[in-house]
Order: sequence, then structure tokens, then C-alpha cells
Amino acid sequence: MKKTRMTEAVVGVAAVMTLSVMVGQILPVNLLADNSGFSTIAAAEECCGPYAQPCPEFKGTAE
Amino acid sequence: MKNLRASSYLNQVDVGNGTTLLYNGSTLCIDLVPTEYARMLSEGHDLFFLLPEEKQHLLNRGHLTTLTPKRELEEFRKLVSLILEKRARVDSKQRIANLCFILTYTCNLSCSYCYQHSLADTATASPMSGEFVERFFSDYFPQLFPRKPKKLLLTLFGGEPLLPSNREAIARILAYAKRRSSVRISVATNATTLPDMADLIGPLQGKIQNVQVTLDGDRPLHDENRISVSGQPTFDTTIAAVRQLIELQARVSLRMHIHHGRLESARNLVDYLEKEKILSHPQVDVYFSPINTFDSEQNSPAEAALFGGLFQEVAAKTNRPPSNLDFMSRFLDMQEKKILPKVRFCGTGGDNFYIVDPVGDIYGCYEEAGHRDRRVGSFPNGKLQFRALQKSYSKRHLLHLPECIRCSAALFCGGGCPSEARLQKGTIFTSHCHQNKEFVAQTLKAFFLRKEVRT
Repeated sequence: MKKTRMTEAVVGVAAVMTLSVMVGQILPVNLLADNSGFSTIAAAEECCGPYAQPCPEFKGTAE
Repeated sequence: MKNLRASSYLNQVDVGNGTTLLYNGSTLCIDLVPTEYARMLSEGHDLFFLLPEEKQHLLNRGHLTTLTPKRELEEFRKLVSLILEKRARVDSKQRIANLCFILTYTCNLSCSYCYQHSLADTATASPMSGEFVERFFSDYFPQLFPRKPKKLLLTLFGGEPLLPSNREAIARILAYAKRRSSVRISVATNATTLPDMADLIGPLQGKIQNVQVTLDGDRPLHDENRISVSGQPTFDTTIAAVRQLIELQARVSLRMHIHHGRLESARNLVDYLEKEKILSHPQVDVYFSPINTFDSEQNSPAEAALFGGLFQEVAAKTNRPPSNLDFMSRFLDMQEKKILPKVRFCGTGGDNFYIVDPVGDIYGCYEEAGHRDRRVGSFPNGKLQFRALQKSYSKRHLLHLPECIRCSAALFCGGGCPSEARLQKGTIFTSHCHQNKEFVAQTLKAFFLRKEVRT
């Protein structure tokens, strides 16, 4: 690995992952604070219609 | 540490600059490592190249494990069970319903690969009537959704849903939606009849707000495959319709089919759409979709590289990966709790996802609509009755998919299309890999690179 390139990439990511701390040459990208439990946000497209269209946005107030 | 090895659920994607993302399909942890590390991990090298603290970190993140493959699989099964339970609770609370109307089985096109070709008899049946729509919302809807949905996504499908003969049914559906801010309407159309139906489309409540249009590739390939019943080409008509949809302020999902061995056609189409200022138009979302018979194993390494390059190029130009896997960005962003990953491929078999056709038959999958032996329910004498197939579909998740439970990308994919699995392998309880793993990797890469660019 070329250290300068790795450093460039790391700087880019670390800027948004403010809690990131490199471990040797490894940069954690997600799940820095807590590695347990699941949120209520689900990854799925079943709400997105045929051929998995992007979900329509709901801007109005739900009834 | 004894018996330390790379996890069976370890995935990786090269993100350039000598770096690779490791993403674990079980813990969902994502780490950026030197590409050389990733290569040695995938090739099963001794772990001498890792510093002790790097080794410990990768173990903590799940990329390395001390478990035997069998034990790791057992632990993964427990995790999937947990996610299934949690997901059921979340769905019950969120109450987002998806209802699709097959307005007609008739189509004005005759595309070479259409899965509805075998529906020749059904295609002559009458379209959905306005009267049926009224009866559906008053009598049938409350039976399908006993707990009133908080949000309702209505999709118009066919055949070709925007045939003028469907106007009465669409008008009744739009009237229903106009009174309810919790309803959004989409249509999947070939868009060739748009000039006659444009008044039904727009950004306001009570209009069709989201329109999916398909292009097969550049003009030669599109006009080879997507032709009218009388054999006429449709590329120019489709492009004109996309422009009109933009003027109408609709959201446009531009679905670009990927055909095996014809990637240069997709390349040409991307160039064309860019030149015409459609590709990165703010109202347009472009996404690639391999046709059903496509299998990524058919791709040579050169073709895979070509596909990856085109995918990333479009992602960079549109600031969004050309896939329908938007949720992958959330995996990157997780900093406290994990988002619930996928344990099913789609909504088929769920109690918030139904497809209703003009005769009142209920299906779980678009591609099975019209094949009456594949109905999941109907309304005999006005009363909802489910068939055994609905229960079978409800069991179609990772725990019942032996190949998928062992797949490193299982929680990003959910098992692949059940309908295509049945058609190609004889049962819904098997995988349909399609190009899913590649799409997951490319999408994650694109979101990661976008994040880098923004900083």
C-alpha cells in the first residue's frame, strides 16, 4: 500500500467520521459508538413498488 | 489468538487509492483497509501481516473470527431470527402499505423478453372498471388492511396502465388519493401513450407523482426489443415522453435494462442521456436493472470491470448510484445503532403488500399476476379469502433459504426474487442471485466515494 494514498483517503473519510480513530492502517467507517442493538429504520424496498422504484417522498401530514 | 480466520460473511470492494472497504454481512461493520490487506484476507493467508492491534480490531468488528464455519453459521441464524422478530414489530408499528393495481393485462408493446407473453388469454380480459375501484376502496380495502395504514403507496401497473381505456379507473383512484395526504401514486409505464394521459400526472396530491419508464439501451437495442404490437420502434417516443414528464414536474425513475453481452449499449445510452441533459436532471433517478435472465456469473472479468466502471461513472455524474439500493448509504452512516438489514428480498408474503387485478384476484408478486394458480387470495362473495400460497410466501426469508443463509451478502440482499427463483429452479425456497451481490458492492462503493468527495 502507498501510505500517501491511504492517508488521502483516510483524511477524506475522517472529516465526516469525527469519532474515527485509526487502528494501525485500518479506519473504522461505521458503528463507532455502539455495536449493539438495532434501530427501527429498516433496509428494504418493499414499499417501493414494481421493479423496486425509489420510494415516493411523503411531504404531507399523515392522516 | 488461536484459529483466527476471515469471517464467512466478510465482503470487500476496492474503492481506489490502494484502499478497500471491508463490510461484514453479519455484524454490518465497515472498515477501510489497505487493498493488500483485503487481498490477503480473501486468499486465506496467515495473518502475519497484521499488527496485534489491527488483528484485535478486525476480530472485534467481526471481519475475523475464532468460530468454526459451522458455529458462525449457527450464530448467524440466531441473528436472522432476532432481526425477523424486530422487523415484524417495526412493520406493525409503522403501517406502511403498498397496493398495486393491475389495471389491465393488455399492452400496446410487444417486448421480446416480456414475462407476460404467456398471458395471451388474460390480455383480452376487460380492464379494471371505475365501479370496481369504488367497490374496492369501500369494501375490499378494509379487509386487506384491517389496521388503517399510516401511509399508502399506490402503484398502477399492467399490461400498460396508461392506455386510454384505463382512464376511468385511474380517475377514481386519483380521486381517492386526492382526499388523503397519506397516499402517493406511482405508475410503471412504457410512456408511449403519455400525450393522451398527461393531465393525470403532476406533483400535486391527487395526481400520479412518480413515473417509472424503461429504456433497454441505446436506440438500436431499445428498438430491437421494445416494439409496438405492430412492430414499430419506440425509442424516440420514450425519450419524448421523459421530456414531457419533466415538464409535468413528475419524479421520473429511468430504468435502464442491462442485457448480457450488450454493455456497450448501456454505455451509449448513458452518453446519449448526458448529452440530452436527462441523465443528471434533478427530477430524474436513473437506475440499472439487469433483465431477469441475467446472471452475473455470465460476466467475464472484463465485462464485470466494464460494468463497475459505468456504474461508478453514472454515480459520479448523477450524485447517486444507479441502483435501487439507497439503503446502503445508511449502513455507511450507522454510528450508534444498526439499521435493520434485509431478511427478505421483497414485500411478497407480507401483510402490507398486495397486487390486485381487474377481476379482484390478489397476487403477491407482479410477475405472477394473471397466472391464477399463483393467486394468494381473492374476494369470493365479497369476502377476503387467502390461499395457502400466501403463507408459503410469508416463510420465504433467509432462514428458509439454505444457500442464502451461508452467503456473505445475505443481509444486504434478502435472497433474491422468489418468483424468478421458482421459474429458474423450481421453488421459491432457493436463491436468485441475479447480479445482486455486485450491485450491493458497487452501490456501497459509490456512496463511500460520494462521502469522500463531499469532504
